[in-house]
Amino acid sequence: MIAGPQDALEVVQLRPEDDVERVAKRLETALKKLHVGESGEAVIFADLFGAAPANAAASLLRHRPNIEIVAGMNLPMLLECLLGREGVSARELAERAVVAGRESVRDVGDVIRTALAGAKPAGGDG
Amino acid sequence: MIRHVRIDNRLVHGQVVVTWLQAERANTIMVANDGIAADEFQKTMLLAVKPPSVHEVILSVDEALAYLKDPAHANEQVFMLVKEPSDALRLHRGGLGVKTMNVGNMAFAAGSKRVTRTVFVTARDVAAFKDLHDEGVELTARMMPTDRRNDFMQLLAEAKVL
Repeated sequence: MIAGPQDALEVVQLRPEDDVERVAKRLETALKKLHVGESGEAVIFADLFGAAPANAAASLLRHRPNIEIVAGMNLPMLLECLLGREGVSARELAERAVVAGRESVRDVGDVIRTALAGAKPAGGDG
Repeated sequence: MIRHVRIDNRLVHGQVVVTWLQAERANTIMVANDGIAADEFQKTMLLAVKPPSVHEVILSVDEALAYLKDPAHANEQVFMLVKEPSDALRLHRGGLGVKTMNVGNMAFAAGSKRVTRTVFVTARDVAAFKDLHDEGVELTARMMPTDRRNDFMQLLAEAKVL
């Protein structure tokens, strides 16, 4: 909807009947499909740090030293990486993802209330 | 003391970390598994992603029993994770002394039969569950702490795998 169709991107799901090993195997298949060799680079995004998908991805580091895994995935971090990844290393993308992910979390109610309070004429009810 | 024993082949994962530890007021996660205890990579990885607020130990089944018997650990509130029902049976027979064990996730494996959306059992698993039940261990099937205390043996009967 925002970034358009993407090349070199695969989606891997955790299903109710899965164990961590099976998710790891599916990640392997996806990396092979993307022609990422054992020493190749890729960034894997996962939801919760310490949860099954992130742990499955982390287990790949045993044989794939150059992959990156970023947990706490959100849309802003994905956009940051998808839209600016040409010629950028996986390490650099992972670092950008973490920064974008953190900076994108905003308390909208607070932002708006603060803006409204600031817009009040001096001597308002405070 | 042991607060909870969960048979779950995902071991430490989202459901456990986000809901169970708090619900059971546990401050120590214990993974009892011979394979992982002997695998430095997996051990290091699991310890690196543990929740910061809890202590975590990864031990073989025999080491787990010894750890729990050691008075130095008497004050720890242990949430125990076991990958296989056969390991749960080994722990029980080794003197673990818990009355109830809970079944979380058991992944699909070749030849396994479906019990619930997230629990699949092989004939070997069923035999271990039967032994646990016959030896006085109550088995429940709760994915989340808010789930009803389903009788796991009844679920096995309903799935026609007993």
